Amino acid sequence: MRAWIAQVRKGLVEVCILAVLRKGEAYGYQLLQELAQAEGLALTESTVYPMLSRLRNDGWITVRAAPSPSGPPRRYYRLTPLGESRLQQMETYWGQIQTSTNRFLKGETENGQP
Amino acid sequence: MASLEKMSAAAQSIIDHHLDAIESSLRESGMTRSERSNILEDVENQIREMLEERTSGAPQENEVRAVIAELDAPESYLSPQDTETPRPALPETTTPPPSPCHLSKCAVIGALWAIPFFVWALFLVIPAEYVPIGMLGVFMTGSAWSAKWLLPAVTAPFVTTLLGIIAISQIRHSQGRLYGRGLAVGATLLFPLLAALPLCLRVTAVAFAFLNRPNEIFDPSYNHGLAWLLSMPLLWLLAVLFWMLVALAVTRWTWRYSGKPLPNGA
Repeated sequence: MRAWIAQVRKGLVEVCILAVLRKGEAYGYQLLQELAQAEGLALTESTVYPMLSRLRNDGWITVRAAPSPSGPPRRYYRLTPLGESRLQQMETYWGQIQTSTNRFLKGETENGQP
Repeated sequence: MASLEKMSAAAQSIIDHHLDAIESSLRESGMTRSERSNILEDVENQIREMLEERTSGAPQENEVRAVIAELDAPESYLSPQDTETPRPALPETTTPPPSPCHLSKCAVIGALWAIPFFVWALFLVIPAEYVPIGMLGVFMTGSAWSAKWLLPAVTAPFVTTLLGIIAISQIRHSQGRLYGRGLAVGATLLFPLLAALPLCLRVTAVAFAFLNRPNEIFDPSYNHGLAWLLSMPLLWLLAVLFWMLVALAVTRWTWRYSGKPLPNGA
């Protein structure tokens, strides 16, 4: 069961990070706090930060440093147009597999009949 | 607001130590320098943000330790996608505690089964009454005791080998829960090989006795020929040494083979 959960979460990390960033730019800790609250995902920094680094290398997000009003300088991440495009594709695909999976779980046929 | 700039050197060194450990894990997982730098910067910023939330003055060592204790262990960064572990424990995924190690029963039984052979051999080489017909004397007299031990002794090499092979297989698949590889290998190979030693020597002795028999009709000086040379103690010693070396070499090979990890970690 643990392996299955790990695989599912592994596949969802990217889309969740990109989806959070679609609302607007966010710094690492802020992003992490939002993702950590998601029930079932429970993503932590050892997963999120390496993924942010990879998404940045792939050109899906950008980063800029800005001073914090009350603390250390922050690194703000933002979605690029390429990242936005990829997120839309992921969203479409996620909708398809979610529908299909739900249909299987409910025991329905291709036409939606039980 | 915390005065992070005034953080003590000791408190800063705790953070540095944690970051160094993470970098070590990231390097081990094959990340480039720039990737490591990005990740470390994010982690350090997170630590500072958390300290900022919790402290009003310069953070103390215990406060830094408390923050770091809430973070993922540096080892979690080794393979971030696969080894990441959620903080809330999942009841159904908790791994059972490791079971204690046990000595392989097959290895023990296999080793114990060797005992009858040696008892039998002991009675055999110390005969109750010795009839001096060359080296054949021992065989011809035999001991009443050795006869009683004959059946378990004869089955010993086969049973010990079989149990040894089973034990080696069980130990290799036990993932450390079973031990006794030495016993198993000994039962599998060393014992049958050593048990064969007296048998081979006995056959050799019989052959020598046959060759060394008086034969005045054909050649009165036969006893001083080749058979006499072959029966010299030095040749006996060489034969014993050779057989021992063969036994040790085969056992060593088996020992190494039995210790090899299974393919695919099975």
